[in-house]
Amino acid sequence: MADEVKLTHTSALILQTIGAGYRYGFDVMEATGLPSGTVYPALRRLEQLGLIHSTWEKESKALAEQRPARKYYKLTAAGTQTLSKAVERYPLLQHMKGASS
Amino acid sequence: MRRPEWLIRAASLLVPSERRAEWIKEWLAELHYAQEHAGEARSYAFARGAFHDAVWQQRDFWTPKRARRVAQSPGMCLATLAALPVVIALASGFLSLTRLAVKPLPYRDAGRIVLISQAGSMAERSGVPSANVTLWRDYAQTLDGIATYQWRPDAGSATVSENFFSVLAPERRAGRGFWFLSPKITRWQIGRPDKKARYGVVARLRPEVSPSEASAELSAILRKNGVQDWDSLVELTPLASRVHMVFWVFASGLGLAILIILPTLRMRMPTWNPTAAGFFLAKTGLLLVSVLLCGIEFTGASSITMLGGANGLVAVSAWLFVMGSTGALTWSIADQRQRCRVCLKRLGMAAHVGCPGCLLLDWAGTELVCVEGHGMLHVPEMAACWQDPDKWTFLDESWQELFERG
Repeated sequence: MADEVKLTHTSALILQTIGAGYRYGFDVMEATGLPSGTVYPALRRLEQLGLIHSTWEKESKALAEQRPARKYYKLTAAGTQTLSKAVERYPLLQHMKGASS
Repeated sequence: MRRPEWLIRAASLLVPSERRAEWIKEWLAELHYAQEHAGEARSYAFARGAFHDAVWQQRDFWTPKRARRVAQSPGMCLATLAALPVVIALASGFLSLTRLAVKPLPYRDAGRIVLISQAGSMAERSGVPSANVTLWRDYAQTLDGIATYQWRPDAGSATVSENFFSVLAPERRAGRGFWFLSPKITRWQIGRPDKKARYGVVARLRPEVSPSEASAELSAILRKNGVQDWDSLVELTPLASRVHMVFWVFASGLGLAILIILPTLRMRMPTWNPTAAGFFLAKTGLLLVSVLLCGIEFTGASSITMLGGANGLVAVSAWLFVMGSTGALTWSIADQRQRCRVCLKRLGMAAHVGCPGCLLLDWAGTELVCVEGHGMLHVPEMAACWQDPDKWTFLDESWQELFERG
């Protein structure tokens, strides 16, 4: 199913950003320059399509660093496949740099 | 609570309740990083995006089945009924008549203004003879002033005596428009009283004179001047109580409706628990408020009662209140019977059981089931003394798998 998915440029950009190692919503916003009202609904849609998968960070780890726990996103196998097709369709996506951390 | 957080919590109200807790958790965590990395100013823009996400959450959520379940819920019932007074308020120009009936009258020392009648406040009134008014004006010691009026409801105009406005002494404070009898009267003409005509009479009592003292004096003046005993009976009603009479008429209508419903109440009402009782009272209260507002706003009952029953319209508005209250109570009880005793959702999946012709030997009726699987209601085909009325059967956990959720 996932290989039939055709993503918009924005969705593909967000998928590429997650593939590049940006793992949570605000991180994706900063990397893409997209507003929160675009990024979060796109994350929901990508997750619904099975292209990304979300997990909650352990509370104990976040507590130790005195910050709220984050919800992390990462590509699924289907997401990786769809991303490679999206990169063929939108070649500029290749220029996305990876996350430093 | 800071404003961006408040925005997110406001947006969360749009998120389906099953997803809301996790949604808020993620957005508040993200807001923390937005404030840390981008500063307070950008965090507002960040938080505004929560509304887009919240709306998106609803897109795949509302299936026809889920919508049906929500429509059956007690919350939806209360929300719909709560919308009724809002609709009435919008349709009536924000309850203009109700506000007049509730607010103090726009006259100086309004407590001293009385309406004078000779046939009782609830009877149809043809007015007071002009000659009597002249006698009172000449001899009454308990009155500060007395004025006459004639109202033509269809024309929206009234003819009043010269001293009418000085007797009423309207206040000229900003935002408090003058009205008397009905706010629909827009034209006021000064007319010379006809000696043979009958008039509505309004008077201002002297300070510290009670309506009963004034009434006794006015009757005595009439008797002294040769008016027959029956015709000398005078009634003084404070203007404020005439305006508020609409509420008494409603209360009487409601009382009568309860008396009508009461004999069958025991048979009709399902078993009570505090939640069900609260729901029933809230539902009935909202309906009765709607009946009252409709009565005041759309029948002109407040101005009608002020006239003391002109054209017998008090009886009409009282009848409307009785019918409205009876209808509201009947519907409320019928609706309560058709709800689950546990979750208060409307029962569904009606199935007809048995043979109506075999009532003596067998049971026949309709069975309704709670969509959440809490229980089943058996409603007999016909009320008979040898049969129980509605019977509720609780379904235990073992039935749950039959009731698909989603």
